[in-house]
Amino acid sequence: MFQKGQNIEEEFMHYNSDDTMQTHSGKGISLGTIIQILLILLLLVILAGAVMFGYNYLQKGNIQVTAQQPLPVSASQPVAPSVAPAPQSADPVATASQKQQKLYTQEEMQMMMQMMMEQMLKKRASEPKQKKAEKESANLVSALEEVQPDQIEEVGENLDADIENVQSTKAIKAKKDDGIDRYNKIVVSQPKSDDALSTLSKGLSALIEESEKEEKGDAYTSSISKEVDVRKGEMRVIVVQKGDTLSKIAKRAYGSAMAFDRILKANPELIKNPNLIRIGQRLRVPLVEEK
Amino acid sequence: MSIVKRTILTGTLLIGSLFAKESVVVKITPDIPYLYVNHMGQKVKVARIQDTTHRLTDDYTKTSRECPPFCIHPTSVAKDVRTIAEVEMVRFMKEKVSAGKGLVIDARLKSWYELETIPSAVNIPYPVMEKADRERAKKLFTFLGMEIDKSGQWDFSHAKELAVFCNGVWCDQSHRLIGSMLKFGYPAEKIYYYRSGFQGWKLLGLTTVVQKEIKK
Repeated sequence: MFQKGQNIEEEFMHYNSDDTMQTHSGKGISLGTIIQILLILLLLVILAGAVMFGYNYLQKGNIQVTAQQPLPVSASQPVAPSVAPAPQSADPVATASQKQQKLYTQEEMQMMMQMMMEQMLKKRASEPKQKKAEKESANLVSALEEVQPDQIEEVGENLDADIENVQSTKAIKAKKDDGIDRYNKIVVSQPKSDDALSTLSKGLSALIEESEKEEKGDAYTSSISKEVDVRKGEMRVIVVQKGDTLSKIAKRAYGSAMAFDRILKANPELIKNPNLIRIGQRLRVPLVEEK
Repeated sequence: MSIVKRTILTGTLLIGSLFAKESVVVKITPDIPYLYVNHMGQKVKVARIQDTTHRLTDDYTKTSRECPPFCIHPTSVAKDVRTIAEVEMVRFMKEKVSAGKGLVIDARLKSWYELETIPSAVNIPYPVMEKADRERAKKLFTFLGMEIDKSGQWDFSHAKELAVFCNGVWCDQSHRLIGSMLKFGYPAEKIYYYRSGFQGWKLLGLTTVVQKEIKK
């Protein structure tokens, strides 16, 4: 039955062609846009070339300066002021100063580059780190204050599981920005259009409801339906990251930002003020979104 | 300057979209990157999770349940009922379901079905079939394409082919649904058993659907 045939391929093609976003992006492009794309490609290549050239140039400059560094730094600064006021016979000094000037420029370049690099690094690193560290230490202190002996034991029991969960959620968080959907769950609302399949499904579910009213199931049925409840009760612990909000976490966990109230319910301490979640805070996130 | 910036931006976006077209790194089979099915009147793209470092972290990672009743099932569920795997399941969706000749049947309880299911699946909870009398079975089978001829006989010649699944190899629900369907005479050669079930589906990172009821 499951043999590949032309019909299947055609069907598949048909399915694909339905989706204009995914598959038609290549076909519908006019000559103008192709030329535009080519031009843009050219521009990018030129830019890349320029960047490479600039990089090489700077690299060369660096190497020369570092090789000669000890001499000019120690010698030039005391020599330069004494040389400058005394007018002396022109040629050798002039050439020497020119050489020095050249060295200076290279040196300056290196200095400037170092400065710029340092500034950039500072800007990037120090600011959030400081804030983060401050916040984290504040959290730690408050957490330590809050924790009571009973709670410590409780945490200790679940620590291994928690750590595992935390790591996995962190990993998910770290990679989440690339736009890849790692839940791959699609939320389907009740049928709007009445195709054959949804009509059938509706009819069946009416029949099911009718039969469910009548009697309870056997032991197996009750245990398998219990498992759904167990799953509904199961949680994982996540650590709040910078930039997290409850709705963002809900979006990650359930695919819907509106499901944040489920997280809210699982963390009663949040109900007073749902906007107050702290970086580093541990939240219980139910595995399954409640209906 | 802003024009240059804009051009570069749109350019990278355009080029990005060109590459994005080829970006299915985790296909279902070499020739099927993904497919589309209908679920509740909505078009759903069935694909796999595209992150090659991704692992299941919560759903369907549970390894152990008490056995009995949650025991590992043999390959075959009943005589003449063929056991299938994911690729056959996907082909079934493409060939049979889309043509209205086949149905993917979720044999689990309604609560499981609503929680998360395979795209295009319809729900026939196994107890419904098990508890059914002949009248209800007749109703159910008519939904599945069974006809009643002039002499009142049940005619399964146009009945749909069914790909039945439940939670996976440890799950008894498809077994029980199929068993009671056969009891009422549904032809075994029209039934397929997707043994890996929902756990197998999840393990491969395939798309699932969550059903949301809009409360009025």
